[in-house]
Amino acid sequence: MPTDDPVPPTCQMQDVAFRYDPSSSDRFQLSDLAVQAGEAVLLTGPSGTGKSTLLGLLCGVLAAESGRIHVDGQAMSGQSGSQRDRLRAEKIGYIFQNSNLVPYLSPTENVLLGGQFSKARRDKAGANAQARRDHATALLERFGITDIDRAAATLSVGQQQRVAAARAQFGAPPLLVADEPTAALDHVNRDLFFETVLSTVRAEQTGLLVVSHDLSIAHLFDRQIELTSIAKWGAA
Amino acid sequence: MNAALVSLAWKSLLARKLPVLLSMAAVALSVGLLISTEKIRGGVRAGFENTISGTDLVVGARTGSLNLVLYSVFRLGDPLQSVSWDTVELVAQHRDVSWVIPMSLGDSHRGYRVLGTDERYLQHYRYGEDQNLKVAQGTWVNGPAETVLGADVAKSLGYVLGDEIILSHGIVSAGFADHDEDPFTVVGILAPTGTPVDRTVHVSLLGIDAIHGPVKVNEDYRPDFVTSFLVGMKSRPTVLRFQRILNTYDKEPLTAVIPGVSLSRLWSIIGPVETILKVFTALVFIVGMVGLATTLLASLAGRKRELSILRAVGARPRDLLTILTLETVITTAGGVIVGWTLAYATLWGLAPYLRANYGLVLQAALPGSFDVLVFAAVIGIGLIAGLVPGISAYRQGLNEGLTSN
Ligand SMILES: Nc1ncnc2c1ncn2[C@@H]1O[C@H](COP(=O)(O)OP(=O)(O)OP(=O)(O)O)[C@@H](O)[C@H]1O
Ligand SMILES: [Mg+2]
Repeated sequence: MPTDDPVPPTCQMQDVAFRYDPSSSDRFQLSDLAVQAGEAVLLTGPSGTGKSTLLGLLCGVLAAESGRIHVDGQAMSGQSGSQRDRLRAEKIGYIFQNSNLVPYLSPTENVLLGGQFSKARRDKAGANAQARRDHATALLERFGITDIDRAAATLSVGQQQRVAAARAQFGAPPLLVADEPTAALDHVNRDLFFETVLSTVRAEQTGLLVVSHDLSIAHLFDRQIELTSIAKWGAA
Repeated sequence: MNAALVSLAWKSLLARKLPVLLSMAAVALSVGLLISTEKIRGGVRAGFENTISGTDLVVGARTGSLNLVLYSVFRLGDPLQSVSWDTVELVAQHRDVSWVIPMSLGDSHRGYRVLGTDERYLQHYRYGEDQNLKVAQGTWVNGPAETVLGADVAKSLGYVLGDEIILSHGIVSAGFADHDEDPFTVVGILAPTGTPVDRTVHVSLLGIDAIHGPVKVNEDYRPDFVTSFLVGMKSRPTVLRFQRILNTYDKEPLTAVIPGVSLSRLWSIIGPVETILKVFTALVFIVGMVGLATTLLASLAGRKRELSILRAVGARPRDLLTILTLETVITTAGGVIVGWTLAYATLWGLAPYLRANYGLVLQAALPGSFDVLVFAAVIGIGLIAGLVPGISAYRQGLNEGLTSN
């Protein structure tokens, strides 16, 4: 592969506009955001400025009014709802702030859920059910979860977040997205969480976009972006 | 359909056993109630309509037509005035008449009515769909001191062939009115019919006279009176004309009624009761279904989180809809099957009791198109009840997106 080829960013958002209420003129406007492969980006900003909104747009749960959103070279913007869902299933691993797990599934089943809605991700995870299960177990082990068959609801909060991270990485999607994933964790658990996530990001050349209020983790990231510097609310 | 979605729906059901079982129970109870009341209602109606068939006219002394039918066919209602034997013979000889069955009622044995008649009863009496009476054991009545029992009489009183029984005058069952001089010998037992015949004690016309006093047995015995008689015409079109002839007969005041007409009139009196029964059953059913929808909606509140997670891993809104709908369909289908099984088990279990005590034969208690209808309705309602939370989940998926609280 020629080294001088510009590597396309893992995800890119340009001139995106969005309204929760189509009848209001209060519009979320974002000029430019890109995360490169293997890059870890921290997105910060005051509450209510639209960090979660941005992630919703990037993941295709919210539909942008205008602008370009690309994930791994594929357009998220201008697609139908189910196309965006398919793209999210295939390209993005998502981690919530808390209660990430389906309570009635075991940790392994929760991780396998990461490939449930994308054949591409399933195929990458393993050629057959057993191989995929092994892949899930290996991911859980990497995050220090060995108790893989009890009900997810009985895990500690820290363990649950690590299971969620394992699920997000199941089938190696090109982009990981997390909305305040360590807000409920103590320092030890928080560091353990990011250490493991970041090591995969480096190894697999995955893009990582994390939203957090916690500036003490900024040093772990390649780049920190203040949302207010790239986005604003208001009439166009 | 995606097997993964089925498996998710199934695991989610297993994780909520108690509420799911309660919903199933609600469905099972309403379905069970609906099916069993409908079957019993159908059985009552069919039994009623099948009590007598093939008889074109019931004839008695001048009385209300309903009372005539109630007394002659159902052994209920007020006793009738008598009809002279001459009239019976005259009618029997009419060129349009195929047969007559004389009937002499008014006596009883331990609560069961005694019917005096002759062999024409066995030959011509029809019930249900043109079924005739059959002697299951023994023979038909031959002598004045012989009796043939209906199936229920023999069964519930424990009589067998050869037993001797005392028949009393009037319908009091206590001993003081018994004419204990002449016992009757059980010579035959009829096969069950599911009609009042099963609860009747049959004797000869001479036997009836024997209950009331000593009789002389000779070859050309003929009674003076009977209570009523049944008439079968040679051809249907003559029925109305002949009915008019009898009703206007000037030698003796008579009432002739077409049993089918009276039976439908009688049924129309019971009609409102039937409607009320139907309405109540339908209400219970609706309450059950509303309960189901409520449980589903309530459980959804606690599952928003789970649905957000599924959205995050790429589930489409319609996948959530599929999961929720599958869950309700599995729940309702389970409930329907349990309720249905319970209803039929109960009906079959109760059948001998209903037969013995109410003469109710649940011939209609075989699964039919009504069951298919109920199945379809419940699954349909379950589907709609599942769609409501499903659609709300669908909206949630779109609006609330991936926000974490
Ligand atoms: N579903 C919604 N419908 C309407 N408005 C919404 C919705 N979700 C968020 N908003 C509004 O959009 C704005 C941005 O919200 P958002 O959740 O993106 O902020 P945030 O930066 O993630 O805040 P926080 O740090 O508190 O999580 C807020 O004014 C919020 O009220
Ligand atoms: Mg937020």
